[in-house]
Amino acid sequence: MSRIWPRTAAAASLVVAGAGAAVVVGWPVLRMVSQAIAAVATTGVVPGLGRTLAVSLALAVVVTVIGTAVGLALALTARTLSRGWRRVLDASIGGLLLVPPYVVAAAVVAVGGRGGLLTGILPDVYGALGMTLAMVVAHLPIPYLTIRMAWREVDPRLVEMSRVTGARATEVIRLVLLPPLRVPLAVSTALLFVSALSDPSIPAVLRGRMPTLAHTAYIEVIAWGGESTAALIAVLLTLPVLPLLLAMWRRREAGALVDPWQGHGASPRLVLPRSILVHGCRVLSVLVLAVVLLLVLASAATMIRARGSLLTPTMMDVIGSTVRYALVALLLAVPVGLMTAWASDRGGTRLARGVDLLQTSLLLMPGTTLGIAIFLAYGFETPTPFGQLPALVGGASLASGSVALVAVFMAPAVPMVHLAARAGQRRVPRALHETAGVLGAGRRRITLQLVVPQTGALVAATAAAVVARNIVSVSPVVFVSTPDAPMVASFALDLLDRAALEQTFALTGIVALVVGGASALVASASAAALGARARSS
Amino acid sequence: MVLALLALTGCTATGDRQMDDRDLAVLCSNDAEVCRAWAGAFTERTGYGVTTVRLPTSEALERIRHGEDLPEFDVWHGGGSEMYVEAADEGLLAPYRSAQAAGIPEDFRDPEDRWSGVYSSMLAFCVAPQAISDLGTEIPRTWDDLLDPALDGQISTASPRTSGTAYTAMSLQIDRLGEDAGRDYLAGLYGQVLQFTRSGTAPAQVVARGETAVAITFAPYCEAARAAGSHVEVVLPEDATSYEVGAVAMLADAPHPGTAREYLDFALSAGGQTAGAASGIDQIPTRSDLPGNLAEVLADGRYPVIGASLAERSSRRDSLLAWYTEEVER
Repeated sequence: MSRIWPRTAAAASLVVAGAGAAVVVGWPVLRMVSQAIAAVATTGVVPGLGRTLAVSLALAVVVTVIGTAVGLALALTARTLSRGWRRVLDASIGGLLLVPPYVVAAAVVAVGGRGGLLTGILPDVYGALGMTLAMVVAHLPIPYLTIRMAWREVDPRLVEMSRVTGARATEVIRLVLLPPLRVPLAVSTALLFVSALSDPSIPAVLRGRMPTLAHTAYIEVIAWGGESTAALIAVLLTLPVLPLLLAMWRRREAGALVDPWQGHGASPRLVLPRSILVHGCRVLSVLVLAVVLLLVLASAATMIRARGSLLTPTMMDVIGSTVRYALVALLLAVPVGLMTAWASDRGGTRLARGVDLLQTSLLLMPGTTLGIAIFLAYGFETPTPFGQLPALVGGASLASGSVALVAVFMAPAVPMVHLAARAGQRRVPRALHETAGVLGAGRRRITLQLVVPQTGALVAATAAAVVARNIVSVSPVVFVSTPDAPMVASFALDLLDRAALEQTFALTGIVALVVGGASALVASASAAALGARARSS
Repeated sequence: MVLALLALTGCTATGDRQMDDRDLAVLCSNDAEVCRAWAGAFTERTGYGVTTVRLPTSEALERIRHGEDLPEFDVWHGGGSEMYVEAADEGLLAPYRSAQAAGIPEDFRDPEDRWSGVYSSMLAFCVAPQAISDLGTEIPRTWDDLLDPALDGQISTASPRTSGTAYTAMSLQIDRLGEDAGRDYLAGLYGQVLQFTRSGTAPAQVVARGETAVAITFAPYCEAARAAGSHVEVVLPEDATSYEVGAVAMLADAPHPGTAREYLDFALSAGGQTAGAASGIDQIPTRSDLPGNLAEVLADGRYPVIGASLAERSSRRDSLLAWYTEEVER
């Protein structure tokens, strides 16, 4: 009985979680795909969409190439800096995670727009140039942090040995630094490409007359009536993710995104042989930091020059409302994510791998696709075997559209918690686990005194990341809320439609403070709680 | 469980408070401040709460069409009456003969009482004289002046797919030049646009911010930007202009028909038609007992107003928007 019960409970947990995922993601995606197929079957190729697709692909490729190269250069520079300077670089680039893409776009307008700081000096920022700049800066943390994490594993002694034996900088990079980057670089390139392709918010501010897929989908959804085109675009945006998922499935070990948390301290700086390449990377890093600083200064100057009140009561309502939604989604996502992680652990290797891959798929699905799918599935009344399900999307729908908002916040939150918990589980050495069991420790004691201290910090950090991500993310929330709904992303896009840069900066400045403060609070609270538990045990 | 959590945390996607059973759900197609002023004045007068969802006119019409089986809103307030004509033809509006309707000339309301015009605005150019001067050109005074190569990328207008304001400007060109020449002109004009905004009230603010030199918008939005301290001017086109008659209507199957009728009585009244001015956006009233009303403005001949009938403007909307989507937007 005691052996059968956990397996039954695990199976039941997975069935419940699976049913939830089917309702929130599975059914909407199925409907979206069927609508896209029907659109192509009935009307053929949507007029004009080919050009939009070509423009979007070209833009995403350029952003991916530049972003990856810049990320590599920055990460290489960081690895050669002392610990203090490395932290400055990490904070400067990592901090961009707290800045929504549309704010970067607005900052580009503040610098190079017609009323900007450097008007006349820079070429017109509306169109390809501005979008490329904004997308590279906004998505730079993806390649930078991925490469930084991968290079934490590089043993400085290997580099030192190569240098002493007379290897040139290019040889050290080729033979020592690049090999461990193969998989992380592939993952980051794919993520960067998908992010650039599926972000509707930078084109909303800077597109000029260049249509992009994601922004076209946004217009089709907010203008209503273009559901088939939106469905088709959503499917197209998902295609680049599929090879990544396939590669992850074929890997024997878990994918790079679910690699165990190593928790190493900062390793010593790498001393590379002098070369133009290393020097060039440093110059490029300084240039990138200068661009980021210029964007920040232009944003600050725009706020200082603003007439009238920057902060309105509506803005505070918007922030409060978004935080509340993010917390509700977190409250629901944490138990579900922990439950699926626990069930995967109990269910055998094949099941665990399947669940991990499903959760990773959810996490990698572009927010634009998810938002469009939920809009299409629940934007209208849906017939069910139990009667009509009222519309769940829109200001005046059931519970004021709140159900859809919580659903889109939960969709990426559950896999984040699940993957963090799974990574945490792997941190507990199996030998230790089994020894504790042999010595007579009960399941509760093992969980509380062995597993929680090992995984708690990671789950808490993930929880903070979930809240932060949901507050600053644009998609999918803008697809399931009215343009002036009290959600930060929707409200900010409405402000930017009217070129209200200063209010956008003020709004997102407060958001960054709230998110940063909340994250620090969660991190320190969890560290304190775990420290107290460790002392008591 | 989700609903319980949402209620516990006070989450609502429509504003800072939960909707009460007696609250009226108003779909508002005007500037946010005007919508707020209308709702505030109604609440002050009656005590009923109002939940406002603001959407540009074309978006609002699509939303009502899709919500036919699930009545989301009680009242639709604001936005050009062309869209109300379409909505009425499709059976989306409920007839209601308010006692207050007598004060509004018949030209500005539906003969079957399904909608009534409650304000009006003239289509105009909102220009930044300094920016125009920096470009080395003259302030545009006619529609053809907007095709000046110096204004390439210097014009801001909304997308007619989402904005009734932009559709009014689009339709005017067909009235002015005929179907083919009108589309040719529009193709040229849209080639001059920096980027299309979603909302018709936005272009005036884009010019005020200095991102473009000219906006095509309704005059009150430009006047409001000027009153707020921006260096912009309203220029009424010398060759032709058009105007919107912003309307109000009760939606078919409104969940709160009694309160909706009270709202219509208020919106049609003198107090309702002047309530929006509290926002700083002063639109022309339609009631003939109010000074400076639309009939007076049209009669004094100051504006070169041309335009087809509402029904005609409404009937060609689908084909014009399809042309715009395929030829301009993508």
